[in-house]
Amino acid sequence: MHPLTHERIRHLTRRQFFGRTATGLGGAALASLLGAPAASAAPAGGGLPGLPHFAPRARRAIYLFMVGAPSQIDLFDYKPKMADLFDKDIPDSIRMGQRLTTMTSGQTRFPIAPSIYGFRQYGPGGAWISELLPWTARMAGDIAIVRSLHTDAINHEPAVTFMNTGSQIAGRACLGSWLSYGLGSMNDNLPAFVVLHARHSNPKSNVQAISARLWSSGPLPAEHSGVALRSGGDAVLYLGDPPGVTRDRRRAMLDGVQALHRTSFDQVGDPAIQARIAQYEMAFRMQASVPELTDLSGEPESVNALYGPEAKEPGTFAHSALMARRMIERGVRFVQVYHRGWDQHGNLPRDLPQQCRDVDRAGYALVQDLKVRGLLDDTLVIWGGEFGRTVYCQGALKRDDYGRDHHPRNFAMWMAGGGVKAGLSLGETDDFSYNITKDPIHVRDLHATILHLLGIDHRRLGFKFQGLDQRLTGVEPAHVVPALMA
Amino acid sequence: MAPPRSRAILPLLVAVAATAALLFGLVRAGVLRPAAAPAGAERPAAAPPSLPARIGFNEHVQPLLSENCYACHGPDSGSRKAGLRLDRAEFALAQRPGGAAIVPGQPDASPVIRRIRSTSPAEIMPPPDSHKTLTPAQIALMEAWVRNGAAYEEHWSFLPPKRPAVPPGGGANPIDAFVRARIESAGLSPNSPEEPARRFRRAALALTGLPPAPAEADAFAAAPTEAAFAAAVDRMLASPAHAEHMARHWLDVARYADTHGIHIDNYRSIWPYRDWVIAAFAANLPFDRFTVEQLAGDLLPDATLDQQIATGFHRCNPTTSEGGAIDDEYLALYAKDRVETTAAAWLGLTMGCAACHDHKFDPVSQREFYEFASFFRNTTQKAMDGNIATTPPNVLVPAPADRGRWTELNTALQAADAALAARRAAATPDLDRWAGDVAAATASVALPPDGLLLHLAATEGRGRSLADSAPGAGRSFTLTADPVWTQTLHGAAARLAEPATADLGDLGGFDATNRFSFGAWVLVPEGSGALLARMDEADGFRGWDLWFQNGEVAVHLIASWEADAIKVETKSPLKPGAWTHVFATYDGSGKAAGVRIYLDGEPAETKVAKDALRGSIRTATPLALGRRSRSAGFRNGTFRDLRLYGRLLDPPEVARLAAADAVRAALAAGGGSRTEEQKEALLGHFLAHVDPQSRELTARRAALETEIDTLRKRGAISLVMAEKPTPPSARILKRGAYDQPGDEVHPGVPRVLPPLPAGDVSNRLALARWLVAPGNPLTARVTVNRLWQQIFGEGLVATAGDFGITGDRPSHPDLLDWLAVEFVESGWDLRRMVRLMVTSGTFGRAAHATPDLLRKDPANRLLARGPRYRLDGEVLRDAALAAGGLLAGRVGGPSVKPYQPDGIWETVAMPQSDTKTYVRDTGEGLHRRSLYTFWKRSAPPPAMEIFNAPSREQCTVRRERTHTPLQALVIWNDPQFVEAARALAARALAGAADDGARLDGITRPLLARRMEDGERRVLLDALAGFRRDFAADPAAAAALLKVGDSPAPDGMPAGELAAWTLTAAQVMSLDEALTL
Repeated sequence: MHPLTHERIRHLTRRQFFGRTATGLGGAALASLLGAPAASAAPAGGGLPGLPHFAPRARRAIYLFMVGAPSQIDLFDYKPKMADLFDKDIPDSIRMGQRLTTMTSGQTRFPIAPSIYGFRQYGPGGAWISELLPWTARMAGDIAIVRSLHTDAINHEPAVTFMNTGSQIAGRACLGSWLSYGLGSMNDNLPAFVVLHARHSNPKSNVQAISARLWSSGPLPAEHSGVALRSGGDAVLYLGDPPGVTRDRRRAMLDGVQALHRTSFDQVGDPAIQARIAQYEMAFRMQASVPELTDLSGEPESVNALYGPEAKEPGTFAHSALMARRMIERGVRFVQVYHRGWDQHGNLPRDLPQQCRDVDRAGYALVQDLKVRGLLDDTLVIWGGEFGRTVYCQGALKRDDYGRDHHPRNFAMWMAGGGVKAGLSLGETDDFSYNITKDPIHVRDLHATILHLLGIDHRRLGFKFQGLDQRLTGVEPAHVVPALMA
Repeated sequence: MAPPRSRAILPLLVAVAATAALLFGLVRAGVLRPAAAPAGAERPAAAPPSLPARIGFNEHVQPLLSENCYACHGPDSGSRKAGLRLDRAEFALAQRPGGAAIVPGQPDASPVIRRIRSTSPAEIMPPPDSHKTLTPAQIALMEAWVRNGAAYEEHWSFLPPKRPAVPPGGGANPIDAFVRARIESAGLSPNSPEEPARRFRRAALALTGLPPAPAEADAFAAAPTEAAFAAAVDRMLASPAHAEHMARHWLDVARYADTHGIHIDNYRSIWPYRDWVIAAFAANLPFDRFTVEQLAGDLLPDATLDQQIATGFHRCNPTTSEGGAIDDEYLALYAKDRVETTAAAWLGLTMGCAACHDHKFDPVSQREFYEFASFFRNTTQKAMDGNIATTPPNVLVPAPADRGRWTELNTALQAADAALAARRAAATPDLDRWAGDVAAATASVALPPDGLLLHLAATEGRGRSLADSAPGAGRSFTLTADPVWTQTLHGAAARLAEPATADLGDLGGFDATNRFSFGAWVLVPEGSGALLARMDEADGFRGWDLWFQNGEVAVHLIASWEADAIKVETKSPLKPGAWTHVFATYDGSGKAAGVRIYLDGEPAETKVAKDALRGSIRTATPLALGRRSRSAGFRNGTFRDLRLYGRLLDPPEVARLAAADAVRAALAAGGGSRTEEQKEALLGHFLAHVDPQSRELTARRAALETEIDTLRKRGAISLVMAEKPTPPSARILKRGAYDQPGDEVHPGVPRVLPPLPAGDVSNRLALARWLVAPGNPLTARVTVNRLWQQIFGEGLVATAGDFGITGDRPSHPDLLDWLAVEFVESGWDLRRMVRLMVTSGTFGRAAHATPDLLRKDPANRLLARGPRYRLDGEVLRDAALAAGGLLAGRVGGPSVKPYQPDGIWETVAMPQSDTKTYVRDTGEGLHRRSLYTFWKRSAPPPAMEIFNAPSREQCTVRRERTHTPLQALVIWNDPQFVEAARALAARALAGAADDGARLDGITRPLLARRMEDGERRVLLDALAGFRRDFAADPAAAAALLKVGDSPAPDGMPAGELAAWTLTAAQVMSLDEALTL
């Protein structure tokens, strides 16, 4: 028995203790433990001292990730001249011998497959949007469409990883983890970074793998990893008490455990015990707050009408979009929704329309819902995939049927809210949607811009690992894109 | 203080980790010496900076330079500014236009000092856009260092360790002497020894990853002598559990997993490597051999099977077979992964940084990176893993019990081949004697007609009638049209020009359980069609056929096409216009594997196009020649010698059928005029079917092969390394890009380290031997440090994977060097080092932190306290299973699938992945040690991941240790913990009659102690509440007891067991239970 006296802790009441623990461990208490002077710079919500670096335009973000690479030519990058070039080979002057995937590098011809979908201009900026996205078209005035993104990777696995972490190789921290690490959390009861998996409804769509590495914190402390919220079973892994264990029983158990923890802390004096006490209380609260989060019964009929009937079905994209809004309301910093099935190497006309139907209305609804609630101003919404698709056809080309290979040289995304210039169409490509002709934006630039909108200088958010300052934007130059910002 | 509502949760619960990290950061930045009191609140912020008594380059200056200056003035030539390099004296002190950057003894004359003192934005260093600034203390330090002579030192870890003198008065264990000296010099005093039972538990967890058996802990607590402790440690070291525990740590380094990792992420068969690691620790394989065998076991002379399996180390890297992926890109990535892994594991260097440019801080150039990479660029492994479990190169690993027999069989097989060859060479006289009687010999060529149901020789040469010469048939069939009769070397043959087909009546009415065989000599038809079929096209193609499709041969067995059918087809087409003997056999198994197709008497390479037969293939439609029931003609194909057998022909019989014509021709030709081919055919037939000696040898050989096949099926494949015969080389990849190859380079190691041994071939074996050569300054240090980290929770060098310039400095440099030298001189004896650490007083000290210690050394770098850290997820699960008596003791074998929440794999996997659906085991597989849990890289076991297990996608030499609410949820709610708590409660109930003793029955297996009175009151009060509660709610009690597959014992009152289950769960979730 080693009785210890620890003045600061011993004289606190339980209630004060928790208040102090939860706030103090992030900043003040830590600082006093270290004796560092004036650590008041530490924000109350955790995160790093000195962050945000400047006034943020967005305080939180929702990233709708279309895994598989949606075809920019069929959705946002209108190329009317292609109609006359059906089945003509793409000129060498355009293709310039650049690398192809091994799926089409063996093709003897690269025949042009014009999009069979109609485009019209929408919104005050006259953005071109395909007939496949009628709801997105309605909110053309709310979103900024970027048509000149480009990436380094040509295959899904590395490209999705690159889009999330700034590196093609697994192991780096992802965007959401950087935000959680840098900015901290804004709520008591839920994780700062949540991941949702929305199912695609077309069983024939070509599906790409994703993996836990995409929401991994990499070298950052592991608590910044995304927590995957599930549509079946426990919404958070292991959230539900075992059968026969009621809330009261759990509380009674926990009271005993915490009493023993306090004794233990008196004897051992290890601050890790305090952390454990706080963590157990947080877990207990989460057990209540997550079911409240996922219970949609309190949503008004107007919301159901906005998102459509699918919003009531757990696992659909519409449901995920609604959940994203609910989480944002409750102070979750970053929500990432994955929707798979966008890899149209063949049968594009069979599969792409249904992919679009899965997400179009819900994307619109989410933006409108945020707007109505006054959340859009400081919530950044991002929609897009990992690269683009080729204008030339993969496989057999017919008038009404074609497929497209991977195309890293340009692709399109849209963004809304959080300081993004609404109604904007940014960037141009050549007549073939093959090379960028104006305002190229590299994935690194996108990352720098997203961080900037959230009040972060991408050069100054780093983490020492393997001797280097790891950053989302890596070591190559990256530029914030002012044109994208309101 | 901020209002409580806005507090953050997850990130904030890591006070300890954050505290330590911040402190280390200060140490690393050179501001704080670990020995000194941390910058405390006591010290006024404005006090003048105090300088260390002795300023060392390595200790104080280098950390500051590397953090603030090397990015532009360091080893990387690509990003160097103004041509100035500050990391080495020969550059920093060299004359330059305007004078040397640093003038020893004269800070005021040194431009570097002037620039760091400057306040002008144009002049100040580091420049404003670097976002780095030097504090006044750091500037003062630099000035003082220059004033003292600007003495540079080689980076500490690149100098070979020398055995330092052990400080006096520290007791028997040198570790304690070094640690005590350090504590005393810091003005602290160490804690007293830990209570015996707690010390015993700590040792058991550190050595075996399991809590001690209560009886053993009690025995030690009753007589806690050092001798008893040492004996217990030796027992633990000799246990399989110790080997498993050591292996589990190494598997993080080896990035071991059971799937390929990238894209489809299919199963990979490499668990025999995991078992090799366990066996290596069980045998205490010296670490130099452990190293050489894993990195280059395949290149050792007469490599054993085990040495080959060991090379699975570098086959554990993540691989891909993504459609469209580019080989060169992935080959470059694989080599980089192998460089990074080797460098991190053995050298503690972050060499991967030099893949794109010279290393920013450490003396590793880009060229040196590719020289190192070339060791790994000479493998026969293909870039694409093919999404198969056994991606070559691989070896077959027989089951442990078969190992001896496997070797015997392979020897015996070689002997049998030799005997057959000898007989072949000696058989000529006997052959000549037999062939001398041409008539008798010719008569014996034909296969005996057992089971022959139909035989259309088709040698009529005219008309449309075909005779059936099967024994007793005595019938003929009439074609619907005249065939085109052609002459061949061996007689006439019929070409079936449409519409020539024949109804063959009620022959061949087989079902899927029958064995049968059929085939003929053919010239391939045009397009697709059937030569022989009993198939009803109108009834879902029910039946069977011998099918030709664009020159390839296929066999169908169909209940209903295509959901309920088998289809096997040859991989390549027959040669048009050439006679081929086509024959198929079916073994009645109902599986595609039971269908064999032979071409010219040899088994053909086939692929399975359908393998889903469940129903009957019997049909009323008659057997047909040249079509199915009505269409699909054998268009313009020619055939002869068509046969149908109602039995399974074996390979020699089919070969005999195919060879018969040639043999007859050879006999007819007579001895003098036989061609070489005919002689060969004759000899083959004679040996296979006539010569008793040879036939017996062949039969014996076949028996060996059958047995080998049996053993093969019982064994497993493991992936290994194999080298191309050409010497290794690599190209420098500009900026690391696979498609921008530059200069060719050859194997080499960084110049800052000792050279490769002269005279050796520069291959992986040379690299492996170099790593453990006496002059290597890093390997021993890095290895003992990782062991220290494993046992004490934190390394003497906290950055276990980075001993480079920006890595942390050792907290106890002399101790580290002493351990490193001891390790090498002991013959790289890992177990000896582990024993030394665990039996030290340092390890056995009480773990409590006094406010004084907490303030002066919050992270316990000085080791005045005993280790106290949160256990890994694997240990927590294993400990719970062990305490509940559920843990299965079996060592090794294929990975298992215990409880896991539904949907973990399904959510992320590709539909075609063979690890898309998690099907959990029943029985033993639920309760094996956690290192046997199946590891899918793209969705690792969640309960492990939540406790900071790495995803095994890259080499991990140091796990993080965080505290998050998700961890609490695992302990509370994961069925494996709930089940274990119930099992533990049942044991406690069965083992004692009163509540106090039962409580001991719960705490002793988990905590190795009995609760104090106060603790006891808390738990028993809670228990009383649970009892009342469950008495009022029996349904809840029953529900709780149903968690888990293992049944609750009969005869225990449900309410009582449920109440105790919650008590056990309480103890299981105590910080003390989760902590070493």
